[in-house]
Amino acid sequence: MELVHAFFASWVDPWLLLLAAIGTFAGIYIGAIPGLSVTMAVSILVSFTFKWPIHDALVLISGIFLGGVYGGSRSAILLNIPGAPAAVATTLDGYPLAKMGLAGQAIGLSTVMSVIGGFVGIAVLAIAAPMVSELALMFSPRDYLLLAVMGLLLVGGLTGDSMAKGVFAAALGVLISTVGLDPLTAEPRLTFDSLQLSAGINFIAAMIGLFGVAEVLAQMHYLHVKAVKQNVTKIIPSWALVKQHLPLSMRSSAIGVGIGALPGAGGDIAALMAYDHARRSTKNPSRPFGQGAYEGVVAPESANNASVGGAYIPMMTLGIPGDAVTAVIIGAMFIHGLRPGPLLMTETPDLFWFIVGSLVLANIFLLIFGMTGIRIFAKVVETPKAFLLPVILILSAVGAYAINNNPVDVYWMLGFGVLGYLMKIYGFPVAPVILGIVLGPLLERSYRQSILMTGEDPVLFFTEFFTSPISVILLLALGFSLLVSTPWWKRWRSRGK
Amino acid sequence: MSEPRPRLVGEVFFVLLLLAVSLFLLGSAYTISGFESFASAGAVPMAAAGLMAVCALVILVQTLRRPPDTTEASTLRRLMVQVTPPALLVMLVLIVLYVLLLEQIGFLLVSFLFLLASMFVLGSYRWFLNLVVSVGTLGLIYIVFEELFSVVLPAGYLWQGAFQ
Repeated sequence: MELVHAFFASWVDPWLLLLAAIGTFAGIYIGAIPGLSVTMAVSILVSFTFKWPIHDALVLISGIFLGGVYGGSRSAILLNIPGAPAAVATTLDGYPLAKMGLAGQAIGLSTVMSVIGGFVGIAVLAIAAPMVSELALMFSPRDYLLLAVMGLLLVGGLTGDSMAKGVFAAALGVLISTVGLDPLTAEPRLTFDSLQLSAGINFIAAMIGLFGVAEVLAQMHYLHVKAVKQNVTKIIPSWALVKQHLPLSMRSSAIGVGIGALPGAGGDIAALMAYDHARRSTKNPSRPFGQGAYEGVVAPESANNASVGGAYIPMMTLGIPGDAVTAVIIGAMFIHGLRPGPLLMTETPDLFWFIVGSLVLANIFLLIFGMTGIRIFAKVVETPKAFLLPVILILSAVGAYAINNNPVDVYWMLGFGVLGYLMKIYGFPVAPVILGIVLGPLLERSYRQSILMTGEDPVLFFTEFFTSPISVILLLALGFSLLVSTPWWKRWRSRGK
Repeated sequence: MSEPRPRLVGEVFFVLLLLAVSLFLLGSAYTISGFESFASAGAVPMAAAGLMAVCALVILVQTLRRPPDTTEASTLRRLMVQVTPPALLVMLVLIVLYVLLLEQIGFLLVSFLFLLASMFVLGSYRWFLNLVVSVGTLGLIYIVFEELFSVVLPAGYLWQGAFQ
C-alpha cells in the first residue's frame, strides 16, 4: 500500500505534477534544439537543484530525460538534423517523409511509438529492477569490479571511431576521479601540493565543461548552417497506421530496453540497432528504407525511449550508469546523499517506486506535448545560435559557480570545456570521461576490497573470478562485449554480404 | 572499406601532448606509493595513467597511418577552418574574461556585457534586438535562479559598500 502511495506521489502533488510537466516539456525542446543535449541540461541543472528536496529534482530530471530522448526526433524529421545522438537513425527515413509533405504523420507516429517504447521500458524497469537488486545483494566486490570495467569498455568501444580513443577517455575519467585524498589511507594523490586539488576535482564542474562548454565551442563550426522549413499538417496518426506497426514497435522496444540496460550503452546505440533490425526483418516496408519508410521511424523511436527505462535498471540496482545521462543522474543522487545500489533499492523501495511513477507520468505528458504545439515548436527550434550559445555559456558558468560558490570550479569547467572541444575535434568520445569519473570510485573500491580479501595475492585474485557463478557469467559477458568491439567480430559479422 | 579520414591540423601534436601528459601522470602516480602493494593508494591511478599512455601510443600509430591532408591551403588557414575558427577564439577570450570578472563586477553587469559582445561576435548585428534579448534572458535567469533555485549569484566585490 505504501508503495502504491509512493508510485502515485508525483501524480497527486500539484507541485510535483507541475515539475513533471515542465521537465517533459523542456526536455522535448532541449532534445530538439541541435546543440542542446539532455546530458548538458541535466549536468547544469544538477548544480542548481542540489538544494532541492530529492523528489523534486528526480521528477524534473526524469521528465527532461524522457522528453529529451524523444525531442531529438522532431528536428531529425523537420530539419534533417538529429537534435540528439539518439535521433541519428530517425533522420534516415524521417526527413524523406517530411520532404514528401508527411512531416505531421512522421511526428505523430514517432510520438506514439516513443510513448509505447517508453512504457515498455518503464514496465521492464518495474519488473526487473527489484529482481536484479535481490540478485545484486549477492554480488561480491569483484563482481562490481567486473561490471564497472564492462561499463567503461562498452562506452569506450561502441562510441567514437577508435576503441583506443574510447578507452583512453575512460581511463582519463578514472584517473580524474582519483585526484585528492585517498578515501582509504588519506594519502594525497596527484594533488601536486595544491590545497584545491586535495579536495578532488569537482565532477559537476567537469560535466558542465565537457557537455556544456565543449558543445558550445563545437557549435561554432555550424554557425551558418541554415535549416529548411517543412510544413506540418495532420499530426495524430490513424489507428490503422499505429496498429500496423505495433509488432515492430514491440520488438524494437525490447531491443531498446536490452541495450539501455547494458552498462555504458544508451539510446543512440539502441536506436541504430533497432533500425538495423527493422531493415532486416521488414519484408514489405511502406516505402524503401531511406526513402521515407514508416518502419524506419517506428523502430528507432520506440527503441530510444525504451532505453530510458532500461538505463535506469543498472543505475538503480547496481549504482552503475547505463549511459552518459544516467551517469549524471547518479552524480545528482550522490549530491543528495543517496548511494544508488541494491541497498537503496531494498531499504527505500518507496524511492524506487516514486521514480517509476514519475517516469510513467512524464511519459503521459510526452504524449500530450508530443501531439500539440508543433507550430510554436518550429519557431523555437529556429532560435538563432547567436542568442542560444551565449545563454548556454552563462548558465554553465553560473551552474559551475553555484556548486560551492567557488570560482575555481568555474576555471575547471572552462579547462574541461577546452579539453572536451579538442577531444571532439580530434575524434575522441567525451561520454567515457564522465562514466570514468562516476565509476572510478566504485571501480577502485571494489578492486582494492577484492585484492585485500585475497591477502594481496594476485594469483588468488585472478582465480577467485572463477569460483562463483555470478563472477563467471559476468566474466563471460565482459569477454563477449570485448569481442564484439574488435574488428575481427565486425569482419565475421559482415562475411558474405 | 571507406577511405580513411585525412589527418587534421594539429592532430599528431594533440596526440603527442596526450602521450606526454599520460607519461607525466604515470610518473606522478608512481610517486604516490610506488610498487608497495597491489592495494596501495597509487595502484589504480598508476593503472589508469598506464592505460592512458598505452592507448595514446596506439592512437599515435593509428593517426600516423592515416594520410596527411594534401589540400593546397596553408597550415594556418586549415587550422582556422578545422580547429579554431576566428569566432571561436574570440568567444574563448570573452569566456575567460567573463569568468575572471564574474566575482569582481558581479553577475548581472558582466553577464549583460558578455551577452551583448558574444551575440555580436556570433553574427547578430541588430543592436536593439540583442539588447532586448540580453535584458530579457538575464532578467529571467536572475529571477529563476535567485528565487526558484536559491542560488546566490555573485554581486561583485567592486560595488561592495557603494550602494549602502
